[in-house]
Amino acid sequence: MIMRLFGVSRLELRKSRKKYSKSLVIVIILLIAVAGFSAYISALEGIKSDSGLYVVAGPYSINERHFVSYYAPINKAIELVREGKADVALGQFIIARSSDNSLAAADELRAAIQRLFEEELYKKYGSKAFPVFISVEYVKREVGYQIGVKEVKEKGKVSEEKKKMGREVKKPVRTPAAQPEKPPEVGERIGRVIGVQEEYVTPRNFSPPNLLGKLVYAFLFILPSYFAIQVFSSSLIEDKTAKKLDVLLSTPILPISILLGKFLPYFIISVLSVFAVSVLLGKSLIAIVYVLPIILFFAALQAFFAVNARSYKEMTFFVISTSLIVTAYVFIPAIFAGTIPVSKVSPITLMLASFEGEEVSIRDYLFATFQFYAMAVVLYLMAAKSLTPEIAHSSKSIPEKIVMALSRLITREWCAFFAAMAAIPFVFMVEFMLLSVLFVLPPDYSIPAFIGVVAVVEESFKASILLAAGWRKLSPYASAIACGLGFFAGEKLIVLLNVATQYNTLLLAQFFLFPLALHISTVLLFTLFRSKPVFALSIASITHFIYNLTVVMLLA
Amino acid sequence: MRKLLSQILAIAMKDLRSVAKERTFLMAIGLQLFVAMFASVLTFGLLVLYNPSYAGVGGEAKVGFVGDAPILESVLKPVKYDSIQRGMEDFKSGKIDALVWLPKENVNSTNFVRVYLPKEEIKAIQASIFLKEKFVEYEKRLREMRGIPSESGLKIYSTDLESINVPEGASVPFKLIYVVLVPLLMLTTAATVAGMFIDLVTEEVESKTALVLLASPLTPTGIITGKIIAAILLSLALTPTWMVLLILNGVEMHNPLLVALLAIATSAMFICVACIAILTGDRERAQLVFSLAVIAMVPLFFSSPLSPAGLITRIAAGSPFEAYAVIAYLLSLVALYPSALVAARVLKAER
Repeated sequence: MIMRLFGVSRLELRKSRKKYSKSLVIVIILLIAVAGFSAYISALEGIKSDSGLYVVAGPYSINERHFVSYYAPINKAIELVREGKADVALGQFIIARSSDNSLAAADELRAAIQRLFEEELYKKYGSKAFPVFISVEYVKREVGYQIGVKEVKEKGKVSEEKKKMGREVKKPVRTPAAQPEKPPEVGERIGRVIGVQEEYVTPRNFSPPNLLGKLVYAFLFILPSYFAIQVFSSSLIEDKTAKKLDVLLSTPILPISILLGKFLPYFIISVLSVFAVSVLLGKSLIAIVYVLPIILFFAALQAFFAVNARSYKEMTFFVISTSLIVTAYVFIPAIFAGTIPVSKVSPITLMLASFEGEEVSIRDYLFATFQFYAMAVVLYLMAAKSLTPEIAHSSKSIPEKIVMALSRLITREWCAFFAAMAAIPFVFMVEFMLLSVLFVLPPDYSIPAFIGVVAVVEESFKASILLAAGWRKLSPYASAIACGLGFFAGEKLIVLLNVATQYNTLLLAQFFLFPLALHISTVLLFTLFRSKPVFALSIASITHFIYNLTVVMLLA
Repeated sequence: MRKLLSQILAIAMKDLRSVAKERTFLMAIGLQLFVAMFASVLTFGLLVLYNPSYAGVGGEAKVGFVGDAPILESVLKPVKYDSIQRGMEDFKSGKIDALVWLPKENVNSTNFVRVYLPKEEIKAIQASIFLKEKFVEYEKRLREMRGIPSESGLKIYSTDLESINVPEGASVPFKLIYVVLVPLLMLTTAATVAGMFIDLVTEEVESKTALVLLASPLTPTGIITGKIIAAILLSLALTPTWMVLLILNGVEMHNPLLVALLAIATSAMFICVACIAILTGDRERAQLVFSLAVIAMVPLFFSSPLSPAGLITRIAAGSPFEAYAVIAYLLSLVALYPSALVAARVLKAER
């Protein structure tokens, strides 16, 4: 079987050799060089597209790129601000009107002047003007996390309320599953305080850790793989369109071997590109361990879409959307690295931490990457199951094709159990994205909205499994119960894993620890009305929603 | 002539119908929504990091102190510990949120203050905003003792000369909308429609339907023109969609017509690049070359105020902008015609 897989890889390579003539390879290399150069230039120059955004009028002019200055006596300048012809007036003080532009300009102007002022102080008084320097060290402590679910969502609320809720959620008894952190070697720390490598800042520049700059840098590890995977999925959909895959399918090669064999060359390119970036940036080759799950997941996702997309343009939309969504999912948590536990859901956070010389525990690694590995396996399986002419070439929509592919996996009622369990990482990813998107809404809306979409998402996943079982003509109620059980077991498993790793806040365990009864009753509801899927899904979702809302109300 | 035009339009309509049928249009809108939401999450993240009090995360924090520093202590009002071990114990058990260490305060020289904050806890953000305020105050006190002015003292007043409170960081969301979000939506639209244009052409070539089209009275250039019109029409539909979405979210959109025009011109610019990429022959190679070109172009867009990104920022925010640059970019609409002639070679090769 392995030999056949390599055979497919060889075919893929031969095809590429034919396609990529010397001149095209030169063009591609040139384009990569230009892209690298333009990235370098813009990193050097910084963002300049915000120049001249604000208009300042007044007797003083300010020489800073955000501002365009107009000379006017102060009375005239105030008049200009009032009329909206200038954003702010600058005299002995700043004059603004109550519009977004004007307030933003006032804030920016004040900050710019404060910067100039501090520079001036340094020129005049030297280091005497900077009596205080601060350095920070972040120390891990094994206190029960004080952010509760509600706190994550109700960021805007006042702090007293927050503290109260923090205490409520804080669990008094906690048995850390793993070894406690090594005792603080205070002596060693004190020694380092005066060390040279410590970073000291003035009070005004003191702020929580910010990884934004490093994120761009982390992105470089993944970017080349995006292109390799894009070529992989393009090649796959081309072979599908040209019916070359059908020829391969008529041979004894298994569909999964076809997919993996075609992916192998691109996989090797991706891995090599990660190594190359590691070497170029002077980082440890270990980076691959963190990027690998993302590459595999991304490739599996695109393989599934390439097999199932009805046309090239549909594929393009999938590629752009999935690239954006996966990038967001991987990078958004990393923005908050070091400040909130949620950030550890992304392997990128761990990669950055390991670059900083931190040790990454196996537990954290598994927590961040397991979902990617699991989703990659499921997606490859689904893609392989879709790789038959009646699914791959049909003009049905993607959701319908998912059900069709599932129906080829769910051959017995008990399979629904495992299918439901396998759905959990996907559900988790979708819910995490929704949570991060919805928590910017005011809390009065965001909580019900979140509970609502959670209900719909979970019920939709279960419904697709049940529809697949129905397609297969399996006993509807038996598979419904298996599906409900599987979902429940999967959630429990995560919660267990969770308690052990103290990530309960992240997974909102308090909300999702639903009794078995709920999961089974909603699937049974769906099964009862399955002849009208949309109606059945709504009924199940509404029940789910009402249940969740009640639980939340009771908890609060 | 009129007949030719209607045939070209028929091709555009055929492609747009299939876009509608596959609901790719809805997906494109979903994509834009996603970009917008992504940006708002990013804004929130930035606000928390740069200015937690603005994002409403600030508040009180319990601070422990080790060392000998009367002035700092009077500012911080901390819980005092006689050794760092004792302080660390309480910090680790959660009795205090932060531990500050300054062995000996020196009024005449520089003071290096050490701060311990909890790792991976929201408390760290809360504590650091609290401490920042206190440290700024401490700096001010020490400067005063040295006879050095501490603040620029610039106050903000309304046009009626009433004092107004502008929170620090008020410009962050504003800049994120106009400097990041609006250009990003323009670029996503452009990349999507140009990517779709490549698909429309390569799909005809690779599934051999191009031969059928070529058998019609239409010239290769005519066929390509039809596809370009379809892509531009899609951009014409998508651009107002994101603009309306922004306006519904309370974003003020100045000069909406000009914003839309510049966005469509940018789409045209991307389509011109796609026309060259198409010469590689098939979807795989064309998309690869095209996306590499986009990756090369996009960073430059943000590093100059005269780029389409810099221009749309200022046009949408109602700031002064260079009209000649807008006109120059509008020329990319004209450049579509020679680009179509170039791309037509791919179809000629089929014939």
